[in-house]
Amino acid sequence: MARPPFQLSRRHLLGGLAAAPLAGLGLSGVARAASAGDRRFLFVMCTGGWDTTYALTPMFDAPGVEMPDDAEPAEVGGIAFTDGESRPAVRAFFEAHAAKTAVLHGLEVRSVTHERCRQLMLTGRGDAAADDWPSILGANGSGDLLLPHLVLAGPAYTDRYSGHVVRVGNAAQLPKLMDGSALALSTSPVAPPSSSAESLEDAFVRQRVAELDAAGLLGQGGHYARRYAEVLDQIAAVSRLDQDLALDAGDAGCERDLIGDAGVAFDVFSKGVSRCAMVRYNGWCDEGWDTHQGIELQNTNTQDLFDYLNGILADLDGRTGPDGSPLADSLTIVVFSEMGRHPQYNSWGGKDHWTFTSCMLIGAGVAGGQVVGAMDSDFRGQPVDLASGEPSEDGVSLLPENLGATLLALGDVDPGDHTEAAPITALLG
Amino acid sequence: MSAGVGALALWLGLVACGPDLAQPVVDTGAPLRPELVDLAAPRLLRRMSLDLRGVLPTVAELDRVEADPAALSELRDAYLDDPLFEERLVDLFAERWHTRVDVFDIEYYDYHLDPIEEYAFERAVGEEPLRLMARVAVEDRPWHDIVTTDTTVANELLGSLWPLDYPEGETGWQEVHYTDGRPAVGVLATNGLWWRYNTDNSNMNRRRAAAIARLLLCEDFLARPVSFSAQTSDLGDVAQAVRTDPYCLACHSAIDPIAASLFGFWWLSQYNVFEETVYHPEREPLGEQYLQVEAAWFGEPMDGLSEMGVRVANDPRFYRCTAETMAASLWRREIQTTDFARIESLRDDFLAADARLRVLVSGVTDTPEYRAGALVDTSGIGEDEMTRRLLTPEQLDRAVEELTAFSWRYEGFDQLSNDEVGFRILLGGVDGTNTYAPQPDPGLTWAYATKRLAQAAADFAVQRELVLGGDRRLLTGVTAEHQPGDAAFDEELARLHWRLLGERADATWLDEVTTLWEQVAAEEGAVAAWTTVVTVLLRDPLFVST
Repeated sequence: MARPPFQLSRRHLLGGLAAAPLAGLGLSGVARAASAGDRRFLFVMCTGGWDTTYALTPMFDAPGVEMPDDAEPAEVGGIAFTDGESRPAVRAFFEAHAAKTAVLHGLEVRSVTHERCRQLMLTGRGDAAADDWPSILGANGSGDLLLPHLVLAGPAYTDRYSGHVVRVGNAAQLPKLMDGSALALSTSPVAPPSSSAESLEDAFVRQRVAELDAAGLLGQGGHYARRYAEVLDQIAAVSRLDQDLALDAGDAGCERDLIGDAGVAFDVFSKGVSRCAMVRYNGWCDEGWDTHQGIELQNTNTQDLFDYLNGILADLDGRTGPDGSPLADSLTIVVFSEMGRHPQYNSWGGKDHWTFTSCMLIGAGVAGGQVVGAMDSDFRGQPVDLASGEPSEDGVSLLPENLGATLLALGDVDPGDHTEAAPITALLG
Repeated sequence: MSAGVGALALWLGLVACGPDLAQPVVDTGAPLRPELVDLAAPRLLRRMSLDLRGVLPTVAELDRVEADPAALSELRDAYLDDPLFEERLVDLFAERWHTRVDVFDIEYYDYHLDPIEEYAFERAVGEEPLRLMARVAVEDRPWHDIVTTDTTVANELLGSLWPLDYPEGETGWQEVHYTDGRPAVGVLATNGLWWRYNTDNSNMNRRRAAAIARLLLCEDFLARPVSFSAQTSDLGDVAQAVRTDPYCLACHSAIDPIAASLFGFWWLSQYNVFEETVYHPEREPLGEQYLQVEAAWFGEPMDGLSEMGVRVANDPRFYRCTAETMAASLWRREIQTTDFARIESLRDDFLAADARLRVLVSGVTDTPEYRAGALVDTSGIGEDEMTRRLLTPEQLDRAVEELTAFSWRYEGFDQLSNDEVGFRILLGGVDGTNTYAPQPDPGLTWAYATKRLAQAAADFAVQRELVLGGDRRLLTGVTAEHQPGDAAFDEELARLHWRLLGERADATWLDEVTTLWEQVAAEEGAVAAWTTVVTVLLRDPLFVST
């Protein structure tokens, strides 16, 4: 498979990071009209397989679906959900944000193992060589992005677009590499070079790559040299920005600070540096969502997740995008898990894996205040009319590819270039 | 002769009399294969040395193949006999077996170890099965020993924690026996494998069974799509459905009987040190009770885990899978349908050599796909051929340490081989949980990590050799007093280029790097100037790739 070049223009950057890249980075102060190509995406992954009966799937009329003890049916702003005294953040969320939120039911992931489901949910494919939705979106946004898809936590699957994905690291290692403080994390004493020596070093390596490429000595059809040159350009550009880039959100006691992670994502979105970011909520105190036993953790996790989402959306208020308009106007948030959980309790009072699941889309471009798709009485997804979002015998059985196609369409990327699945147009606002 | 070896011999006889498996049953037309150009001999030697030992060839070795490219084979064979080959096999196996993870159910503190021992503990656990396989390979034992031997390998740390007859007073990785009654099935009886591939009350060892099929047979059950909408029975009783529903049975009829044989590794309380450390022979019958199937190997009944090693050893998929995975590891790309005949040929040679892995590895390094440095035609065919390969974090780690004496360690952690505080994934490596294959192309985090590694190693080496009077392993011919124009200065630059990159320096490079040296020296002196020169060599596109 041909590997596309990284979208960052060498010409722009080699030109001294003058007007054009600054405009691309949103630093010129020149307002641009937001378009779908400028839309940004925050992916919030709940790892381990969430039990959607705690909030998203109020299956009170289905005897085969066992609901939480304190569950009550509720509806706010066109969205039916599961209410409960022990999960007040869920109601608070829908009361505040239902109008810009759509709930999607009945995605079938087609596996029951965590690793495979994570990949299927994010790529629609089970093989190793696949790019995930955020990588594709990051690589195909408008403008030159320095950190197209920033992974603060959680998985990233890449093939053609591996160069567009930037991992921060579990302990925020990336900022330490960027500012050189990583050199202090060494038992052997080492000193960083002076800034002037480092500049000479960087320039020499850039020139060396160009010379070897020109001489045809780097093989791989020039791909390797091109990629090396591009990342050196990225470093040069980031070095002009890193005083403003704070990529370390820290943690919140025994778990990652999800609001802090989302705040880092908002910062890079505001600076026009990134288009996508991945954050992860790995459950209360990092205990995950995989409740084959100890189902009560789903209750805690659901309350905490929605509490975090409320905080994230409060933080989003007042932030602006690169063009000065509200960041919320160009940001879509995707909240999902890699799988669902079986409708009935197992012998240990937990719930096992389930191939069907639900997810939420929040914000820009989303036709909010609605539920799309449906589960049947056996907790299986029903075929859906993609245009209306209503269950239909003639409809489509929803797969992660349909979600992916929808996100690509939201991001002004032709889904047909990446999947055969059709977007769920009912979700598009 | 062991039962496993005898059965293998029987199978080999059948193959010899059977159809020619190298020929496709159906002619699908001549597949398009790219025309590949071999690397120049010194660069190919460099690739072999880094792949088989993790370190660069010596200057003398480069000189030799430059003068006589036919010497490549002899040097390659010497690399296969080098003690470092065992370490490299551990790295290569880790990329596929994914046991070098940073977290297990049981943590270092569960054994009352100090935090400084965390990394050593995690790597020792994860490397146990990898090192057993590597030991079988370097001792030229038949490859099926990895699933039939009654031994494992352990270092002194594992020897102090697990039920092993680790020799008192010894250190390092030793071949030892578990003393808790577990069967003689090699890697299939290692704690390291089953701590990585753990299970739970509802999974019932099925994940472990799937791992066995994927790792040893290249049969990936988890890659098969699962759709509960396509399945017909009442899923209210999952346990019943996996035994009776035809849709579920398509996989579970193979997986569950394998899983049923693994209940000696069943724990009654997860995260309990004793439960997960010790094998429990008395629990072996639980498999049949819990899963309601008898132990079997793809339809053939077996008497529990103790028979599984022989079953694997007699399964023709085991040898093809070994050939396929070794080729993929050294070609640095996935195996494609167009590779069919090449893989079959490698497998045949492997079996003809009594399934000795060293012969297989040698064979892979003789293939055009391994030796490729360029494509004849760049019009599209073969763009995925890895004619240029990034060094993995492990290769960088070993090569840089051997050159500079710098090993990036911090609070007991190898910084290039962990993701807790280190840079393994950021440097393009495999963590086994979020990344499953080495990164093929340069990326931003890779570029930052290689830059900082180069700066750290260069500073350490130049200070050590030119300032502190340490032994000379990198700058062998100069002092801080030598200047451009001195013969020693110019020869040092040329020698560094040759040794680090496997190519002779041309006049342009020598001029440019001399100018670089002079620019830095003018501001900061000769030591800083040499540090900068070494740094740019360690960041050179020819250094960080093969």
